[in-house]
Amino acid sequence: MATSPSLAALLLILSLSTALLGCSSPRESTTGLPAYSASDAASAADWPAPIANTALRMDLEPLPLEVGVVVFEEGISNPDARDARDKLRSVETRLAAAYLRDILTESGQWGAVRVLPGASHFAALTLSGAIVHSDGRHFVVDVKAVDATNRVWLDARFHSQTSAADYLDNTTEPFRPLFVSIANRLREAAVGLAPQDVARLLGVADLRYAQELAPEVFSSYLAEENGRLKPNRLPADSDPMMARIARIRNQEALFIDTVDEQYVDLGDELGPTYRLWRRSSFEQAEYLEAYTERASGRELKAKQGSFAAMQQVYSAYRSVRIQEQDLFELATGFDNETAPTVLELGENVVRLGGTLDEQYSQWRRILGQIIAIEQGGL
Amino acid sequence: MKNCLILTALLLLVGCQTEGPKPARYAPSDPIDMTGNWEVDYARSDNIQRRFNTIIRQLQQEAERRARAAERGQTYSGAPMSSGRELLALAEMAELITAPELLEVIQTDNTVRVKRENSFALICVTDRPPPTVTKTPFGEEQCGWDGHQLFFDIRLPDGLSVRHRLTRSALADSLVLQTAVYSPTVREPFIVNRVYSRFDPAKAGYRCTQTLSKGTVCTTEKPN
Repeated sequence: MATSPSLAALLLILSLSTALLGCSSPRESTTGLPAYSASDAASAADWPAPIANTALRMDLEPLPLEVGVVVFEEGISNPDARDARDKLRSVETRLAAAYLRDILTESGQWGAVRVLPGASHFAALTLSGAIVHSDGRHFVVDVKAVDATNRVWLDARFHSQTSAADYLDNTTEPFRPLFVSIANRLREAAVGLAPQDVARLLGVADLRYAQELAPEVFSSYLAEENGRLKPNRLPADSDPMMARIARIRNQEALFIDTVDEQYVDLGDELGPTYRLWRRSSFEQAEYLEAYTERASGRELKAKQGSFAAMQQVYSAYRSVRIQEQDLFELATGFDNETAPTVLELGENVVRLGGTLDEQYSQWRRILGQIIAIEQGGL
Repeated sequence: MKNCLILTALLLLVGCQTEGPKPARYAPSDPIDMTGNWEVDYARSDNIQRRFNTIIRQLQQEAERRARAAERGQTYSGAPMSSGRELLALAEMAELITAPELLEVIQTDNTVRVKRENSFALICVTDRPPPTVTKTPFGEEQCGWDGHQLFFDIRLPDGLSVRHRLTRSALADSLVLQTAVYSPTVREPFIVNRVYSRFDPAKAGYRCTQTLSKGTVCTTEKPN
């Protein structure tokens, strides 16, 4: 049967349209790989340039300021405890805070540096942060440092990128430059701080700590001016009340140090696996990028549909899932998080339960009650 | 122009093979308890080699039909045939995917976890209407209850798809894991049915788990 050229052309267009519309893959990526969402790309655009490798500053005069590093926020809008990646992020928030504590301690530029399970005015200078992104190749965090007077020392986003060389050595933190950069920026923010400024800050820190625990007793000691806290009146050094605050503060330090041991356990137990996971994530991200590049350039060696090509695809997926699940089980099984903490308080023994954050709140409530009782007895 | 039309029609037919499993409509959820340890029963399971031979025979028969039609000058209306090599690749993939001999199913009101020996666990959050979707840069997983069957659809790059369906027998003594592997270059999925029987792992005197840092770790300690 003869076909007219116009009809043939129409058939050709129709056939091609059907082929393109009816048989298109549900996946968006032209390489057949699931495409990253637009929000991923948008968030990556908000990252600063990766930090270069820098040395930790240890050359300045040490400051007698205690520093509290609050466990980082997860940076996930609706975390699902059953999702391996969300569960992992919750572990990362603690590991990152603990590592920042280690770097600040290593610098020797500060007084005691402690990880705090929750926000508090325990320390004269408090660092808080949120993990924006973490995948073994990129680590992005927002960090804010505020002192007891409400002065902001640091409020910035940090981004570190690893290379394969960062994973060759099993003992070094691959994102160390990021933490070193935070420590350096923090110390540089204190350059020019006179000794009397430090002394004033320490005085405000003591009062603010007391005010936080027993606001009804200490509210009149501090006043706010242009967003900064200033002492309204300062108690004398011989004031017995200040001695009580110091004692209570030591009690809280005892709690925090006890909790800190649990963070050390966390690092010891999960650290090696976490490191493996990050290295695998790094390798997978590199592989994915190379794969996409090769696929777009049609340089894939294994022919589509061949056993080698299918095995490659399946093995990559299998490997990702096994690693995620392995780490999830470890993170879930980390019982120290909910292990009760037993502390001596005078002649009493206090047993705290729940998560570390809950235990911390319980402990602070008890300390607040003690202050209120003692102050009322004056 | 005629050649062009034939080429287009061929493109259309070949292109349509890459669909993978079709989007499903799910029966109302009717969860059943699959909790327990299960080991493969080879006597009741599919033999991949036999299944492969059957498909090859079917292909040969179809090839003969096509040849006869061509001899008679008739147009054969069937879809394009898969090559034996691609079919063999798919069978090998099916063998690889269905290799786990032991399953451990842990089931709660909202989650089913099917741990597979030497492979990743199939995990499904079942407290929402199916499918529950899990996305990774390396593939997408959909799962849920379809009536009394638990399904997992895994869509991977390059058109490779794996569909698992888990069914428990009425007597609760066996599980059937049906695995269908789809490739964009083969017309039909390669389907393997594995039958698993319930077993007590404590009887072996030891139990093993797969870990990332230490590989397979075995213990003689009894589980809590």
